[in-house]
Amino acid sequence: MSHPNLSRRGFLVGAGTLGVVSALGGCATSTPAPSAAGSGAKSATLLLKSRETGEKSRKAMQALLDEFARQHPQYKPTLNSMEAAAFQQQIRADLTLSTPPDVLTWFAGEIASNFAQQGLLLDATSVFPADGYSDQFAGLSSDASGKKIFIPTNYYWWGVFYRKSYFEKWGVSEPKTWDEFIALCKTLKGKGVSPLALPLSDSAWLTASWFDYLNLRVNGATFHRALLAGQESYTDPRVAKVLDVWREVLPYLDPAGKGLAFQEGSAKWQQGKDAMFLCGPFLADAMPADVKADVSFFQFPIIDPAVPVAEEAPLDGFIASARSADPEGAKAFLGYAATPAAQELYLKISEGTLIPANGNAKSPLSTPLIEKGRAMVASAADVTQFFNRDSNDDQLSALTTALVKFIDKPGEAAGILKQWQSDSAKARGN
Amino acid sequence: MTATGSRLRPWLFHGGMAILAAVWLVPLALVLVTSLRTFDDLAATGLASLPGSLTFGSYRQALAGAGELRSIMNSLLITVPVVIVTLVLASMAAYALARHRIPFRKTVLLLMLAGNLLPSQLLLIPVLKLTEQFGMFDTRLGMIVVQTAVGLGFYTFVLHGFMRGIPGEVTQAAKIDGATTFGVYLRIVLPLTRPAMAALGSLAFTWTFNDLLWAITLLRDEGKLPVTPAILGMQGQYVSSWNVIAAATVIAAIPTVVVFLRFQRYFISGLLIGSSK
Amino acid sequence: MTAVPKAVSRGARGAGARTASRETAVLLAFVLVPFTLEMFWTFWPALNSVYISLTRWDGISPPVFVGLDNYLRMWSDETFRTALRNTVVWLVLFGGLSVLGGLGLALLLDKPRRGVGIYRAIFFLPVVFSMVVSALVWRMIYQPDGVVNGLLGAVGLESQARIWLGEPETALYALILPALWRQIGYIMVLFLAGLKTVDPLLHEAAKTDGATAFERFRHITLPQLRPVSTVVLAVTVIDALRSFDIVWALTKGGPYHSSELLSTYQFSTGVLGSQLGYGSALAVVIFALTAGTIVVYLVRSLRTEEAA
Repeated sequence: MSHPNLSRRGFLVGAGTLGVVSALGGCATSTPAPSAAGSGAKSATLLLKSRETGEKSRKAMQALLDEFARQHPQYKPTLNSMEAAAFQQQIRADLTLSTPPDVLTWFAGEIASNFAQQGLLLDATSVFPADGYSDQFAGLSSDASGKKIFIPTNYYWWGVFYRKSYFEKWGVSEPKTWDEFIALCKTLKGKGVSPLALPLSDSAWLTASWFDYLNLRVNGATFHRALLAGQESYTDPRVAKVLDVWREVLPYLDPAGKGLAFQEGSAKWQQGKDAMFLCGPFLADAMPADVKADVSFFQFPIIDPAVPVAEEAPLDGFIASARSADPEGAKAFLGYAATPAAQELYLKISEGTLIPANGNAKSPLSTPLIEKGRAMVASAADVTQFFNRDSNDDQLSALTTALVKFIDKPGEAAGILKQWQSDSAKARGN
Repeated sequence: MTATGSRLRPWLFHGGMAILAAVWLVPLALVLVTSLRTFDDLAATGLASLPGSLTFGSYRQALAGAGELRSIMNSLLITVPVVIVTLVLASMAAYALARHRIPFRKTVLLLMLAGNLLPSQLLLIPVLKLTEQFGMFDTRLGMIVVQTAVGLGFYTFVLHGFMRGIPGEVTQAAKIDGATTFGVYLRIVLPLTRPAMAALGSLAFTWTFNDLLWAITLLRDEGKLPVTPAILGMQGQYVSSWNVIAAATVIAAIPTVVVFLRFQRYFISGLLIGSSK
Repeated sequence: MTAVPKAVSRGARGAGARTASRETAVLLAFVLVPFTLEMFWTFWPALNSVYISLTRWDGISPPVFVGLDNYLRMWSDETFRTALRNTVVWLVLFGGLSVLGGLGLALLLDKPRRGVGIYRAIFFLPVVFSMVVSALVWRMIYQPDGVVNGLLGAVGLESQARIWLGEPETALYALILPALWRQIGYIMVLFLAGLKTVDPLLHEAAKTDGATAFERFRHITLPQLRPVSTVVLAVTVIDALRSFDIVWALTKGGPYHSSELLSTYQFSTGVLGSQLGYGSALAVVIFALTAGTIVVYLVRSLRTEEAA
């Protein structure tokens, strides 16, 4: 049991000093060694595993595969969709299977970098387009050594969403600065409207959007990244400052929010019972067309003009498994997915409010909302992904514990931050 | 209580039971109402509001794709073998352990129960690797073998409890008449434990049919997924058509309800142990 | 316990030797086939996880052996202590109430009479319903403008209205209701099957002797329910210590760990999170608690029964 180099794949065999499994070793070798087979085969099957289970996204993904197969008849791609939560639970095992899916949907950020560091991801540098991706997106697609291990296909943005008709009715307009934002909240509350939606019952993770933005606006992206990477402490006075600023708007949060699920919260916002919602454009994706046309957002208000403006732009795309039986096929697909045509095709059918990641691609279903989002991200000095994409789910769980408590007990900030730092450090293993 | 039950005045009994049953049914009624609403109605006014109108559209939607019926079939293909093999193996072990002075029988029973007590989280990854080595990963056979093996200890333990309750004279008489061990098991013990077998059978059916954890650990091909992960797959990442999901759940509950209704007569009012006297 | 094949108890001799050894083989197969199958798929894989509990491992990079660090960490982990405390509360309340409720329903619905089949089916229904939707409706029941607060308002108790799942004081207790709703029907079924072993003639005899209903329950029904009670007790301890899905679906252990159970904490660190070493250690502790509680009880009860 003392194998020094116990990998997830190998640990059972390693523990085989106890006999049974090594006795069964014959069965284990029945699966082909990674990349040994397949590359030369005719019409090799290619398995794409997707976490998009919505009806339209599923259709769009299939269309993408069909078009790829039309252009590359030597490959027979198949689609396997798995619900997002299960997908997340399976990904680590999937990447270490002896016959893994060849290509998987994933997102840019810390976890992909970790996968790459362990050599689990296929090097896609050869198919990464030289032109089309911004430097930021290209950087987010690279591992520590500069190899491209991720193909971005689309992204969205975060902002404070509202309904234009209601803002008109209440006679209010978009704020630019934090002071204007507070004033707006006060005005709305005076009119008997709950200013801010924050449903927490099944989506406590939404608190991370507030923390991310407040920290980006108060302390900037550099500090934010260092904090998430564990190089700075949550007991730092700069983090306390973030909570101090947030405390100013806590009275304007809908108090029912802590008992509402995301869908209930978005229904309340749709009805104008809550005026504003810090969210992504997916908030309105399932709403009727007339509501969608009425939706707008404003940039998270500027708090300190001296801090370079950063925005959250979570980037989705594909990774390929290093153990793919057909690395050439997987790379061919990644190369195709990076093209403007592929990204436009996907967005056209999926109808999501998403922006193609390749700058040469146009939004096939362009709306003023999408263009406003694209312009906001394009003008940002820096982009971040989202709290758990920039760190991991353990860190997110430490965050939600701290922030949900803070919303309840804003007076206990010091103790909460201390606990947060300790939870965060323990989850990191030091 | 048992006896008072029979003396309770019918109106008191039915009155009390009806109220309790109604309370029990409230959440299920909410599922039904949700399944009869339209998505736009749900999205606009929220789940807890009064429905704007009722329609069977969600049921049509749930059944429209191949998904729902296929996943029910998948669940059955896994559940039926698991329930049968489990009951056979567990009743054999329980019979041997409960009715015979086998050396270490208590240790064996406790070990089997302990095996069942192991939190599945301890087993998931290693079992995944084992099924991969046996070539059973992402197959229904793998699901059947693993779910049978992992559950055996519990069913053996429960049946052991029931089998100890069978009066010794019954099996002894058969022995004197020259019955073999297997004969006693088959012709005396099994019929006498039928209530327990039926009760366990319907529970085993329910759990296996609705399993989520093993399915998402050992299966990958969405064409093989049983009902619970398939229904979860109908959820969107942020917004879900709860009306369709509710409808799909109601449909998926039918097989288990049928099994329960079929089995319950065995553990409710059939032959009574000891009625031979 | 009286049906003892000679082959096993004393060894075979004389003319019956061949039959006896075949009988022994049958018995051994009866025990060993299920036993081996289960052990291979449970204890053997679990050994690997026990080893993992001695490491720090994120599931991707190689595990680092850290000895008992993960177990020591629990001592200083406030969330672990909360989860442990909540688990004990859960065991007492959820376990106790589900046994009482299940036994009560079984006693009431045991005798054949008109309509009992329907009642039994109704109480069993929640067991068969998929968790996906059960969680959804319970959230509807508990949400701020949901069923519970609506009822409180209707009887003039608006002041008692709360955000049941969103407040740390109430979340854990609010979760017990849906858990009971799903568990009682199951316990009822076990007791119903157990009541079948109660001899109705004994009741008749006792009645003629002038025993009251309570006396008959106390001296006839209860003792005869003992084997099934052992089963129910074990089942209840197992389920209480493992309760997971309803809690996870409704609160994920929140708000801020106030409804955290060991099982949910284990899941969020070791399955969802990437602390597989610590998660495995937590699972080992859950196992130790369950096995400890049950085995101590069982060893004693098996011994007394054998002596009796």
